[in-house]
Amino acid sequence: MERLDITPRSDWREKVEALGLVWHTASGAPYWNESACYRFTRAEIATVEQATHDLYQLFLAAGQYVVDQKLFSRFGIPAWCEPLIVEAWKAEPPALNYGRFDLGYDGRSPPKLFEFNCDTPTSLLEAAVVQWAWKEEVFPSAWQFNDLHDQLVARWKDIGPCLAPGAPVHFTHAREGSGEDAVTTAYLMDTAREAGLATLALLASDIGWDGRRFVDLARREIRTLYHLYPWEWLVKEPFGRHLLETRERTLWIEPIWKMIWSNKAILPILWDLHPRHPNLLWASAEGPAGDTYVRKPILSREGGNVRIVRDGVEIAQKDGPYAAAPVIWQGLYDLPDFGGNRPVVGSWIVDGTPAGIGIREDGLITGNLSRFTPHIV
Amino acid sequence: MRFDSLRLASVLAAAAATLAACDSRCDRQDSWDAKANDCRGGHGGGAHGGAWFGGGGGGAHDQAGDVARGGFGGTAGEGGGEGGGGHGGGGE
Repeated sequence: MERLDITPRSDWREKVEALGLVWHTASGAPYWNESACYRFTRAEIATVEQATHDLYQLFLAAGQYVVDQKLFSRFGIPAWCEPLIVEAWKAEPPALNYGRFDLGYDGRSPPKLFEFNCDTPTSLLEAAVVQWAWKEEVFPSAWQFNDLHDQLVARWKDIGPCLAPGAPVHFTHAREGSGEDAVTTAYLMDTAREAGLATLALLASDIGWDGRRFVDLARREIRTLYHLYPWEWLVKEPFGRHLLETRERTLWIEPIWKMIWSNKAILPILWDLHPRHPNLLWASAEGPAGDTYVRKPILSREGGNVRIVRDGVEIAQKDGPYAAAPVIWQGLYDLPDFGGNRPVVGSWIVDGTPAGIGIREDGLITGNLSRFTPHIV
Repeated sequence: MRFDSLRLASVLAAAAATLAACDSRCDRQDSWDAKANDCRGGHGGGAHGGAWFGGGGGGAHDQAGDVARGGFGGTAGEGGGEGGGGHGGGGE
């Protein structure tokens, strides 16, 4: 694993915008960073791939444990959601079942899991499309660990026959200004279209309730709904309770059981079930085991309210809106340092099959503005 | 072929719509600081700014009849994607 300094394409902004990446710049600096790239060996990629596969198996077992032991209160999940989660976990309704494991990896020791972003993962377009196009132009003879697009299309084809016949798949996201959610959702919508499905887009705030059904702006019933909008927000909002009434009518992709896997409260459970697993970091919901640790809110996003302590001294922290949230403690992993750039490997998986990686680099805490840097093999 | 022009059309349409919406608040596209821009907050539509376990916009009925809207989408001040993470990890 090495980091190569390279010359960006002179027209990189136009090229990535042409692929839909309109949020390529942040605070005056490139968010899409092609002034460098990471190069892996095949053996290193195989290591990441195997770890991704193994971690998925651990999550399957941990999810079953949470359901069997009814540990939902550890996750801050409202009690009324529990039967919906149990029902969905057991029934396994059609889902993309995709996600991104964020891993610490230095090319030498086993990859270590930070968390699993599997409810509304982003950096998807960058990983699936933009870095592939970059590779094809800049390093055409190189390989890239990137089967993400093809696997997403294949997954839609798999589940398509199980969706409500004759009804389109609706796609929704939050209203926000960067374009990231809109384009990421549009990209996923297009993978469904490529798989032969009819699709429609609408904002989450435009979802209607007619007294017994969720409807779109044309008052068409929403039978299948992909949402780039987190479950922990959905269930707290005014329409959340209608999930109970419509459990037989509207299929949500991803399903509500993702509230278990996408919550950092799963990390201590994983460690308890598989202590000292080579791909896990120590984690606890009780408190730190020593004076070096990372403290994370269980549902924070973009690194918000994360605090890193080494030898009793806080060495990094990020403000955020989650100060009142329950927290977990996790062992500190020393991210490899490439001249101040510390990469986190986002390893994608689609229904249990490793699908590729995307790398973001920053300091000790990776957040919303961390740079996406492409890779080759 | 992975990316043909037909497939990309919908992605670009979404991007164009977003940029058009932002143009009303931003002087020039190339000064549009995409991930931390002023536009972002401005498009928050009923945003509650990420209140912990809370938020939620108020519902409203559309004028055409008895369809309530706005019962979802009220929490997101900065989008619902899980971008951050890393050590430290943070976010979904």
